[in-house]
Amino acid sequence: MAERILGVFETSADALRAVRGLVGAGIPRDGVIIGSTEPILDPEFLAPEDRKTRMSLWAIAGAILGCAIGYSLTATAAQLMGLAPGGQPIVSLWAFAIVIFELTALGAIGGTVITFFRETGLPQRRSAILDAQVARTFADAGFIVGAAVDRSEQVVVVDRVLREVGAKDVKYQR
Amino acid sequence: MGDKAGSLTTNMMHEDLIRPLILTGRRFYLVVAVLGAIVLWGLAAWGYQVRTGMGVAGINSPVFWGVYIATYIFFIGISNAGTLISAMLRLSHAGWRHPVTRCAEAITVFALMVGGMFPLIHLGRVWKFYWLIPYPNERGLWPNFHSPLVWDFMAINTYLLGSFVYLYLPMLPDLALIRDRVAGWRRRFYGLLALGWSGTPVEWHRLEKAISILAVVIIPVAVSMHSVVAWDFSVALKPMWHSTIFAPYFVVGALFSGIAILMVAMVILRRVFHLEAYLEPIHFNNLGLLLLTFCFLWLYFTFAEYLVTWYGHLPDEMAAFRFKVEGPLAPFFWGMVLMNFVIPVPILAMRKTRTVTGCLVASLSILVGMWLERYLIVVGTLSRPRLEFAWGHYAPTWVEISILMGTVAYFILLYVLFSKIFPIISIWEFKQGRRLRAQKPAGDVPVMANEPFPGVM
Repeated sequence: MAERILGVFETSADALRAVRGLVGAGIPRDGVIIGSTEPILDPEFLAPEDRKTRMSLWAIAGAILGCAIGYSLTATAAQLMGLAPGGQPIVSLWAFAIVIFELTALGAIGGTVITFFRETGLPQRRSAILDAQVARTFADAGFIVGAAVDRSEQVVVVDRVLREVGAKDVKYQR
Repeated sequence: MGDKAGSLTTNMMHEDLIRPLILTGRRFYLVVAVLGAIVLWGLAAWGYQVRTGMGVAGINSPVFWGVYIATYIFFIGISNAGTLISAMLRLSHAGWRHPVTRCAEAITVFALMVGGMFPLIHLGRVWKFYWLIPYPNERGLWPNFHSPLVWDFMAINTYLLGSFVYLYLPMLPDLALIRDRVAGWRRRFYGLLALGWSGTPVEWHRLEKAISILAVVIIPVAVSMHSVVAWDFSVALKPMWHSTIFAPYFVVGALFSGIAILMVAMVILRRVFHLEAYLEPIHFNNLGLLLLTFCFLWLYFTFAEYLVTWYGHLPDEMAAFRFKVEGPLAPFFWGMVLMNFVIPVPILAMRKTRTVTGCLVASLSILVGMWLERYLIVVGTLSRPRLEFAWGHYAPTWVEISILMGTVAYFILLYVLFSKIFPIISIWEFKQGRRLRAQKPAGDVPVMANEPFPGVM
């Protein structure tokens, strides 16, 4: 069973050095575990495949869908249901534009939120990288970097790298 | 900013901001009990109105909208406090915004929830409320999409949903932090709400991106929402309602009262939770200056609105004008000018009085003044319709006053409970702001806090 070795760091610069150290020591980039209680500002923390997001595209797609639904709901419903608008036109974009706009915005919000959850893999039942005991240490520390390894020689390497780059503490988690 | 905040260690910060969630004093229960009693009284009055009929309210023909609709506009106005102000500060990279955003966003959600109740209260037969919802039903009836009431329904619900998301998503990291620091049922509770947030780079990246997109989307939604409320009035051919500037006038008034309620909330939170190191005088100074700007903007719009009516001198319009400025509503009108301009401007204009206490006094004054403005808009025009034989008067009854007090107490209660259960200051944003300030040289321009990754808005 793989063992997780996690180093606790105070600054993002230390954490970044740990990432580089682990990759340099032969740990695959996608096997490096990184977590933080504040935004990690350096793109180097991200695996290359994670740097691009389609959130803007899905927000726009959601907006277009919302706009189409808004138009259908107002114009089509008014025509099909035979509303009696008191001498005003049945389909009046001036009045319907407001409903269409709101549903467009709602679509953009929906597209953004759905993409957020899809790309982050949330919701999950619990934190993906920490058990409760390590999490307590992590909460006050700020940054955590480590790796999941299943060979004893790798355990020694990861432990050494994390301590060399200045880990405040190193935790083991099965 | 930053002397006090800069001296805080991460652990101290966590203790300060999470402690109020864990420890509960007797004062909290007392406040909840008092507010709960007022809410119950308001509910009883509403129950009486539902059972007896709308006749127990003071509204009549021609004044068919009264305190309920005035308070509805007022609450929808203050709902602009949060998400809109927070989004504007975020997009403008205001470096001092970090401790302010969540206090503000929570106001939006609760003000919308409470404001949205008023059309239902005003409806009388509240069980028919679902007629506003567009859905296919067995009678083949659809709501009339030409109706401003349906626009209201769409705008308020879009803003409420957007504001809820805008409040909740940025709260995930803090909920996870609390989950990792507490035990027992609290750990399960916050764990459930944190949705398994781990703080991985991908999660942070996507959160920053989502917040940026939502901020861009939510600003026009907020503006549209209060514009729609204004169009409820201005699309009617009523004296002093049928005005082209009503929408921007309402939006300015909404921001004006929104900033005021935000400052009141900040003063109280600062005092009750001992957040002096987080909500510093500079926050009050900056928001005070913003409020001062809005005092002048409000005066400008009010003057433009009344000047054009007076200059046109149309008999119908002048009847409503005189009713407000010289007639029975004159004390309300001049009280509004006093509260919205004469009192707050000197306080906010002078650095010596633009203190935390000074800002509180000015903000409370503005809140009263803005409620008076909403009352004048609703009651002033309806009391003086175009045909003279239909002129009337309106005075709120004890039922309306009780429901008004009950809903105000309900709003405060919701906010109190929220600040007891959730960190009222965004912990991760505060830490981010502090770190960014520490990185830049003194006197530098605010750091672009939202540009952590290439391609992120």
